[in-house]
Amino acid sequence: MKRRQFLRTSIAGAGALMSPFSMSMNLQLGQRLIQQSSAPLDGYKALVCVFLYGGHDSLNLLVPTASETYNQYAQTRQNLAYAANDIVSISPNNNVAYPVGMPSSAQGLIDLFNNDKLSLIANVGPMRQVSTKAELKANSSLMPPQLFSHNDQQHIWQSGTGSQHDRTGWAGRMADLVMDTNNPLPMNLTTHGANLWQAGASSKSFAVNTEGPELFAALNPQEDNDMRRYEAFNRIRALANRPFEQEYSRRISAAEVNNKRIIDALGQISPETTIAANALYPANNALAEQFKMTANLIQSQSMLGHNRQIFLVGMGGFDTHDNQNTALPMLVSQLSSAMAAFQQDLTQRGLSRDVLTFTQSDFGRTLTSNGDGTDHGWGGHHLVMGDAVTPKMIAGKLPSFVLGSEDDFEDGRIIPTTSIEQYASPLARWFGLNDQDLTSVFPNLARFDSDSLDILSSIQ
Amino acid sequence: MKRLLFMCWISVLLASCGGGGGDSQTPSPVTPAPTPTPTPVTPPVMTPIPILPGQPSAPNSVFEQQKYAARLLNQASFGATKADIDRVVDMGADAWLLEQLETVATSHVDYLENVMPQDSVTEVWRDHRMHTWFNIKVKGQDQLRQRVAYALSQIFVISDKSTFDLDHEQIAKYYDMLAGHAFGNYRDLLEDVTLSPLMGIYLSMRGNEKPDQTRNIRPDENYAREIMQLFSIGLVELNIDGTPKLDSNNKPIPTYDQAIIKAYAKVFTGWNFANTTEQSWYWYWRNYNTFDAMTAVEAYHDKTEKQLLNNVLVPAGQNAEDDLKIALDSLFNHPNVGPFISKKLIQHLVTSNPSPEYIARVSEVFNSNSQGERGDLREVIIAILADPVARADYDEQAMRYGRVKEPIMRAVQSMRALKAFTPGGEIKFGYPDWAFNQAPLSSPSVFNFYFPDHQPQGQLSEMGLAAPEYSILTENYIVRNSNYTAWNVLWGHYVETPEDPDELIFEYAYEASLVDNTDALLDHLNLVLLGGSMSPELRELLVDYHEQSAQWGVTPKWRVAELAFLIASSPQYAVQR
Repeated sequence: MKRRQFLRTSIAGAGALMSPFSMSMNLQLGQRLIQQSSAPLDGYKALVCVFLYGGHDSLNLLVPTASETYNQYAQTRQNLAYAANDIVSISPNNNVAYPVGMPSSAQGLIDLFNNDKLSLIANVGPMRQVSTKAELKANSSLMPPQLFSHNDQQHIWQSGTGSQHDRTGWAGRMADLVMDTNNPLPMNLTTHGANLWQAGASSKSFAVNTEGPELFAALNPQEDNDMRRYEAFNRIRALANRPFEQEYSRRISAAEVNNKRIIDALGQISPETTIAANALYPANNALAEQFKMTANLIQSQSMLGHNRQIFLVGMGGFDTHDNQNTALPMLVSQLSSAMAAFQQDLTQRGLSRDVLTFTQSDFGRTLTSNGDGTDHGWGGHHLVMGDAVTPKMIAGKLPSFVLGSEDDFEDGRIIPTTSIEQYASPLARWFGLNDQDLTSVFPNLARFDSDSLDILSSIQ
Repeated sequence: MKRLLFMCWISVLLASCGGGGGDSQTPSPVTPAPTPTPTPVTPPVMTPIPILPGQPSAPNSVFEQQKYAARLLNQASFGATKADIDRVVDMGADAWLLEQLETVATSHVDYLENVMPQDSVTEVWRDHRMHTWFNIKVKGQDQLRQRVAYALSQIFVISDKSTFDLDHEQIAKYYDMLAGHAFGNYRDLLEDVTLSPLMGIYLSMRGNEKPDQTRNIRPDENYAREIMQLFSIGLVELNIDGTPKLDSNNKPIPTYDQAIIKAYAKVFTGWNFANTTEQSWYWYWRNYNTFDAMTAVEAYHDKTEKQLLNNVLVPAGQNAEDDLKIALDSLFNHPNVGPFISKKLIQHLVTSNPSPEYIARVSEVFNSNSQGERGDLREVIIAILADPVARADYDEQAMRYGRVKEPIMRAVQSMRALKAFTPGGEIKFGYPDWAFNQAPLSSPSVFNFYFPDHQPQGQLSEMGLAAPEYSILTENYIVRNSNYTAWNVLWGHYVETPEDPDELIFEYAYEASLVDNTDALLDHLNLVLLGGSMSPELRELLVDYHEQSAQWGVTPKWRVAELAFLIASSPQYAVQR
């Protein structure tokens, strides 16, 4: 950390004395040095994003429990409201607008909250700037682009720039700042495939299946029988001279080098650890399988040469236009049990201090019903899990459930009161970014009060 | 041995997925494949003769003509074969294309119904649908239609990753519907897609009801939103060349707002499974019918006035059918449809980054064909394939030209090119997802397997080039793709279990006969696998490797398999151009 700050300061200082040409030369050099300076970041840390694809109806995760506000909730949500006796009260340490509970399907999350491992952040979403409903209605340029569209809103969450057209995501730009350029294995790892969030300007992401990486069956340099074929194949790869072909060649090479390394690193995990971990995770839960692999990769960090890692795990099915009363409790139950198991696994492995897990999703959903489901909304609640969270915290501002309120843009599409930048920047700071880094990763951060969320008790 | 392990792997996966059908335990008796019953299609009124530019005429070398044919076949079929190349050279590319446009559709449903009794199973499982898809793609005569149908299945997306995950015959019927419209009119296609009961479930138009103030219910917006965003006009107003129109602040202009979504959502109320009545509206399982088109129940249809796109007004008091007609017409007549749909089809058939000029040429045909008709997909397909960009020879192609082959299409192409077969006659491939990260009509969401504008990080993104298919070619799947090629193209000549009617065999009978004629062998592999694009450097390298393998004391089949594997694993083979 110190070395990096020194480099940055020295570049800024040097620029003042130099011609524009030599300055730009130095900036390029300095940029490279900064990129190679991840080693001085202290200790080890990992961020794990759980992306809930389809738009989680997270406004149904924090339900009012006092009779007046529960009645408002029930009146608005109609047949989609949880019954009062299906809600388990939780007791935040901070002041919130109204007493709340969580549905019993979220038992894993309730336990995490009560054990000081989970914070909730109310009503987060994309915002151009802090605006009232009247201002938004009067001036459409204050609205984020293409609200309510799945892919655009996924991209806005993942880019962290307010734009759905950017080619990099905020995890990728974080990696640009702190990655070790000598390590062929990217620090951005995903068990849920390619995504914008982890795309950097220079850093890349790497996909790992939950079953673990595999080796080439007929092009394995460790197999004597493959050697002649392998060598011929490498010469063929070198002939690729068109962009699409070169990308293919690059992927082959990345898979060959990194899969072997990951397999070797995972092989060092003791059978006892694996057995103990397996006992924790729920069966038939695809998210749990991704968490398990993530825990293994975190445990292997030193062999992988990483002192910082960023993961994306994902879960689909949240686009509950239909059949929500059956589907949503199942989804929430899967999410809760998988998250709880992951936290327990990390604790068991002695890693929980170094890992923060948090959610993102396309959008929240309408408070109103379309008969048996909900449509695309705007703001929604989010979760941050880890040892570092402020105990029993519901940060941000709980929205009103009254239709037509100041929070309701229309049809119960809730105007967010905490921006993506405000939500993400404390996580990035915990990860090791300084103020200057944060501004470069989140270009619109200055539009918001970035200290408003006290979700992490031990930011170092 | 490795290959056997792979087979077991697949069997285990099938068993654990409940997708049984028993093909892995009890091989069915060896019977010749039934000939698929063709579904008659109405012959088009006019049959304009396609004219493909750049065709080498007779004085040109035979190889030039073959190369031209192979390049066309790689766009217009599931991969060139020696027989098809010869046929195109023989009859001429124009005549071949015309013949394809007239070829009747091979029905997936008929195939399923003919195949299933011989498997002595009564239920249609997912693996049967996959077998059917592979057999038709590899062996069907209606190659162009099937190629277009596969493209349509990735635009008008439904997926078995949904509540109808057991209705595979119905899913096959949906696929047949797409194939039936491949050379028809887009408006008809849009209507059949809209009224499909599977689409009704998938995007929740089925059961969508008019607003009910007392229960605080408003219409479901799902289908209204996605039919616009994904099936017809997209998010922003487009010029005819597919570039976004800009307002006075240089900003793209959204095609619709929330008020428009709500208006269409009201139009799409009142539809349910065929023959649902007012009384039975909520009786889901009693009404359940995923074979027949949805029908309307007027009591649940919103009859208020609706303001649609481009000032189209739906008057109050109309029934559901009339409302639907106006709404679909309003989308069909929106100026975005031509560039929006044309670009998607070009991306699936020819190149991922078509130039605005190419898109404009095709959009114009969409907007008005040779008879002044709008939305004629037949002439759109001709325009896409006959475009000078699509027909340009390899050395005239821009660096940005071409598309990364989908993994599943790479596999089908290798089966076709190298004449893979099973002793039983049926290609059995129940769980393609494992190797390819994709399977027909089984994408993770209505957004298909990949976003059409996905630009991989690095060089491609810096060049501003989309390569959507790389989304599913992650590091692990690039290994599985390669290993699939190894288990089949490389080791598929070795028959492990001769008694198994389902083992996919790459016999290399023809290729092995050329083993001592290196030039002829490489000409052949070059044509069927690389469409004749093999560079002199690549050829030299392969000649060298082939000469080495002569010293290894292995069979001719083995030697040609080594070459075929190197080519089919290469970056050059991974890209269609």
